[in-house]
Amino acid sequence: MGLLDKLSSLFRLKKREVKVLVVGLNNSGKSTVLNHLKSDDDKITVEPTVGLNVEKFKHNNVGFTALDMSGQVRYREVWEHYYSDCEGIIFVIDSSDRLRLAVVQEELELLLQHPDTVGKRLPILFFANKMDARDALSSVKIASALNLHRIINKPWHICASNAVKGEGLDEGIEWLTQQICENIRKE
Amino acid sequence: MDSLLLEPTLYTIKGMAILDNDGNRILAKYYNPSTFPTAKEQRAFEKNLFNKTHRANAEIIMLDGLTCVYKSNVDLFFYVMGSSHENELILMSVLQCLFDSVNQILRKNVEKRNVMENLDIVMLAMDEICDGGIILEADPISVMQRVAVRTDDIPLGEQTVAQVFQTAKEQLKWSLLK
Amino acid sequence: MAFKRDKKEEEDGGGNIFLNLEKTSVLQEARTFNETPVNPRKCTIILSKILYLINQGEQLGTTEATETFFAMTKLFQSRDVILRRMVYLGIKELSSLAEDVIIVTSSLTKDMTGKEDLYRAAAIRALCSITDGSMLQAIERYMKQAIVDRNAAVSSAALVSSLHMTRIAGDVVKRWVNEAQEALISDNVMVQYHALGVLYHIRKSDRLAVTKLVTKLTRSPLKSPFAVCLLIRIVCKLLEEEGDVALSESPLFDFVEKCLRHKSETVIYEAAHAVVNLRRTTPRELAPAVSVLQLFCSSPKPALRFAAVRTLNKVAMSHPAAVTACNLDLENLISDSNRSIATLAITTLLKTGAESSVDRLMKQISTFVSEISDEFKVVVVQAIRALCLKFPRKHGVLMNFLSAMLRDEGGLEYKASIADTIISIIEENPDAKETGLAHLCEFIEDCEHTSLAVRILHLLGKEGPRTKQPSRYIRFIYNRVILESAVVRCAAVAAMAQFGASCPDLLPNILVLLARCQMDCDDETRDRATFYYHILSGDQPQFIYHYIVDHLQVSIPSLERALTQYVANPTPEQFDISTVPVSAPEPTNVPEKGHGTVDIANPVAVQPETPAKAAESYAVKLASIPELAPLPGSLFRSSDPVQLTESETEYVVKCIKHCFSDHLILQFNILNTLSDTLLESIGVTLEEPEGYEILKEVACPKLSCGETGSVYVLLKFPEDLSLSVSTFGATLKFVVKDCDPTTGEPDTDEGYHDTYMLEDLDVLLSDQVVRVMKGNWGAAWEQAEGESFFELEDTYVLTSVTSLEQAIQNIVVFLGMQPAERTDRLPQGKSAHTLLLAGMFRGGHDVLVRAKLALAEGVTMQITVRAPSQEIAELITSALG
Repeated sequence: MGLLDKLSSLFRLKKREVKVLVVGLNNSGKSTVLNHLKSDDDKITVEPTVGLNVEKFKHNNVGFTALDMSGQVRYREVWEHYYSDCEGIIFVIDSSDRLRLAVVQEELELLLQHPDTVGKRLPILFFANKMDARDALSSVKIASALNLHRIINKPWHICASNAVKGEGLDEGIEWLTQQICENIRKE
Repeated sequence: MDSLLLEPTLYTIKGMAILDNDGNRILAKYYNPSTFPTAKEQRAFEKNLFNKTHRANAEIIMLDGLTCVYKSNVDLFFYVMGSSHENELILMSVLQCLFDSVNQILRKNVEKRNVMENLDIVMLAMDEICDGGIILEADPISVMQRVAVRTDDIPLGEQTVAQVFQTAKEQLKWSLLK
Repeated sequence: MAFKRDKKEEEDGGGNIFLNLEKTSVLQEARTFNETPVNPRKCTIILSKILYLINQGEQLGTTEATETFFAMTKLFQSRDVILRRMVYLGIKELSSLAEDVIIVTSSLTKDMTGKEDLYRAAAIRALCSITDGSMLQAIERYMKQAIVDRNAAVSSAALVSSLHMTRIAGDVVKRWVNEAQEALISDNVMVQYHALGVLYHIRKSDRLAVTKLVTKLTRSPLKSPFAVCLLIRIVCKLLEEEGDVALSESPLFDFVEKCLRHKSETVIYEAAHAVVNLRRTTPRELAPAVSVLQLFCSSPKPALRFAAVRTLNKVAMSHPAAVTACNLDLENLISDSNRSIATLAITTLLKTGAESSVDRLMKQISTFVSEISDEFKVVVVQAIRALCLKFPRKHGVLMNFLSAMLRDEGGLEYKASIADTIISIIEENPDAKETGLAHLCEFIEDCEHTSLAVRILHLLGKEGPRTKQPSRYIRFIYNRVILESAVVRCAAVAAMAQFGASCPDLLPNILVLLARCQMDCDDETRDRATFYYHILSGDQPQFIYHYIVDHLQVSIPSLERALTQYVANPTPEQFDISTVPVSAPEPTNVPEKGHGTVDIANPVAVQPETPAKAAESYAVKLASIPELAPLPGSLFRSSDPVQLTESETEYVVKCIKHCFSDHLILQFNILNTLSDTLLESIGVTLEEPEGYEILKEVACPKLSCGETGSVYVLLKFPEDLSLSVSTFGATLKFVVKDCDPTTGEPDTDEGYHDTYMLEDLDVLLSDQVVRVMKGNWGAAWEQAEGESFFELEDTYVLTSVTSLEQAIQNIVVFLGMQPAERTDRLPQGKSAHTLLLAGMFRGGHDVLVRAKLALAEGVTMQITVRAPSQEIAELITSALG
């Protein structure tokens, strides 16, 4: 036992493993975002997620374990079970879905006020996804529509993305990696 | 009069159990909700079964309307139960598979102590042999393959401490020889 | 106990981490699952602990289960094979306890379609345990692919899970029949077996499809022995449904016979077991099966010996001669170290062996009877019962053995079977009566089973007064009043009253005892004692007869219903017990069929529905038909269904005759077997014979294929009783509409009228009479004389019968009455016999018949009928003419 523990703690020094939660309404493109981030031989055809999926990818020598949560209405209440032990949140928004922006705000509000997130400096990365769509809102407009500026106790960042092509994803993940590493160093 | 011909169904196994030499349950599973629905009834049945079988190594007994085949080794008793008219030889092949699988998992040291140390793998083996009363596999070699014990290539995380030491020693030996 | 555990702990040296686990602390440990990165070794151990606790019978509440389940989902991030497999196990265990379990659907779907073979099969099985009917559609595509997957484990897992899912979504699984078909030709034996199981399950209601499947498979041999066993079972099911063709002519049976020469012992035994248990097996088919069983008797494997001897035991019940060839092999097994095998061998030998070997075998069995389980003790008891019937002279040895068994330890079922056996021996064999009663008396002196004590007391009350020395039983009975619980005391009081009623010289003593019982602290006991005391001391012989000797004949469930109704709708009239249907006693078994075939392998045999219950359910059914309301009084008797068509015709019609005191309801059950027709407005046209009057008809509106519907006709019996036994011509009439066989929807709205001739329907005397059990027929016969019954006497020569047995059987069937005093059993080698019968004619009229028979040219019969009216007496004498 002791030997094994030592072995694994040795591992931890070398390579960082972080856990992030991927949330957002259904059909916003969460699984597609992750699919693009994964290594090439792991890719799948994306279908509506039932419940959750666990995906892994690497960025700058940091191993990410992403819990890809289903965005369907009946599973949204499942998200909160996973708030307590993640180090960052990726919130994916469909920028062309103006109608449900109000729903997004509601869900975001629930997330921010949950006891498991409220006191923590959890970095939140917003992807204003589907920026290529004809009637897509810009990331700035979405930020103001969701009133993101009121979030003061958590670092947040929004960037426009096109998950199908992979545009804008790296920029966001770069930011998230930095934030998480900073958090860990502070500990 | 009702016929004793058997219904053509895959649901053959009513239960499987491994007891220790005090008749206590190590693992047991009953697949039909109507046979011993409560834990209490199951315990009572196992006690009774043990009392009737632990002295005479006779392989088969009828009890509480079930045909039970059994086998013992050192301080363990293995049981497979089927309906009272079930083909006894089918039950025997399942019992044999259960025993042989455990035997291989424990590297021929079939003792309670070893079962407890490898309880996870034994549970997986039982699950591979019978699924909800249907015989899933009766060949111990297939069962071994499916419970992921690759005898030659065990992933590091799965080795017991003793095994880790053993490998470490070997490696040390090799590096010294080089 | 605590001490012992501590000691054990020391012995184990603390190495066993599963010792003394505590639920809450283990569930606390599950928090480790949230850590990143996952430590597979640690988490596997914790998960094992949780699963071990559940396996030990620990109950998890919904919240506990749900929290554990969610914690477990986090382990999907580890790629450790063992851990992942343990997670699947955990999912299966918690799937019925936790909420929101479907959240792992995507994770499992990913695993089942992924590249890691060690995940795929197990993921399918876990997935199916959390999938409900509505979600099944979503994974249907994957399931179909998995069934035909090249990996055998995946294919088997998918097939087995499909079968589990037929319980929640049979229709969806039915669509996978092509995939299952493809899996059937797999090289892997288990896949083949599972595919056959699934295919049969999907098709089992379609006889044609099953036949096709079987024909194909019996020609091309299956590789898996399990699959062949399953196929044998399917074939047997088909064989049992075939008509009464000889087995030797059926190609299906050929297959079973061929399996007797299969290379796998499992298959050979399955085939032999099947042959033995087929309904139509004759000694000719039996012989090869018995030979293989004989070989198995000397196998070194106990399970095989057990299987063989158990099956031979079954053969010995129906065809003892076929087993005699194995006697030598069976003799070798009576000292088998497996006591079950020894017991079965001995009981088989008892059935096939000669009278001379009984003593030896009984001695052998008594050496180890205390070591065998209750199940097998019951087997022994049943063998003894059969022996007593076969060798009445041996009753002394056997009865002693039984009484020794009665004194042993044992459960209620076991003790009851011994008491049953003793009771049946007493009834069969008058010579054994006194010893049998003595053994039972001794038994109730120390009997912990109330229900048995009550039954035995009742028997003592019935049989005791007619023994040579009734007084000797009184002490045993009165002891119960002093020593036992209230229920037993009641039964004892009732039993004493029987002695008082039948034995005048004991009456003064009985009255003293009953007077004492009037001080009892239990209400019921006191009431009974008071009641009997007054009847017995009242010097009114007819009261004594009606209230003590002759017991209540009504059917208890009907009485209960009648009383409930009476209480619910109060009327000024008094409750009339004569309106309650009489319960017919259960038909007594013909000796060779009866006790002999008690199913030894299945001691907990299913009780057939008693006639009283069947009648009650008919009564409820009829009362629920609005068109027939109000029913003409209470249902008196319902006949067994009479077939009015051949069994394999377009329409299968059966008729049940429901008899009321002045009315008759004919219930025609019609089954439409044509798949492409819909029947509407179905009725039955009756040619009513003289005297009958049709009051009402209730048609059946609609019948599609495979459905059974009922048509009812209400008739009034003729005033003249002699016309009531008659024959009806009957024709089925209906409107036919052609329809699509698959949907059952009619092609057109218009149909055409059609009729279908049915066979003639007879209304018999036996339809109007209920069997009544008279405990003391002689007393009833004398009582009838005193109560101004009409007596009619006539003499016939029955030319068509050649033996007394046949004559007795015919008379009982014709009159539909109950033989009393066991006079339907013919003592051997007699040429004259008196048959005593009792019954009740519709309207609640008691009828008693005495038939004196003598064997001459044919059988000469002098019949004497005592009935309350001349007409009934005439009807009965004429029924035999």
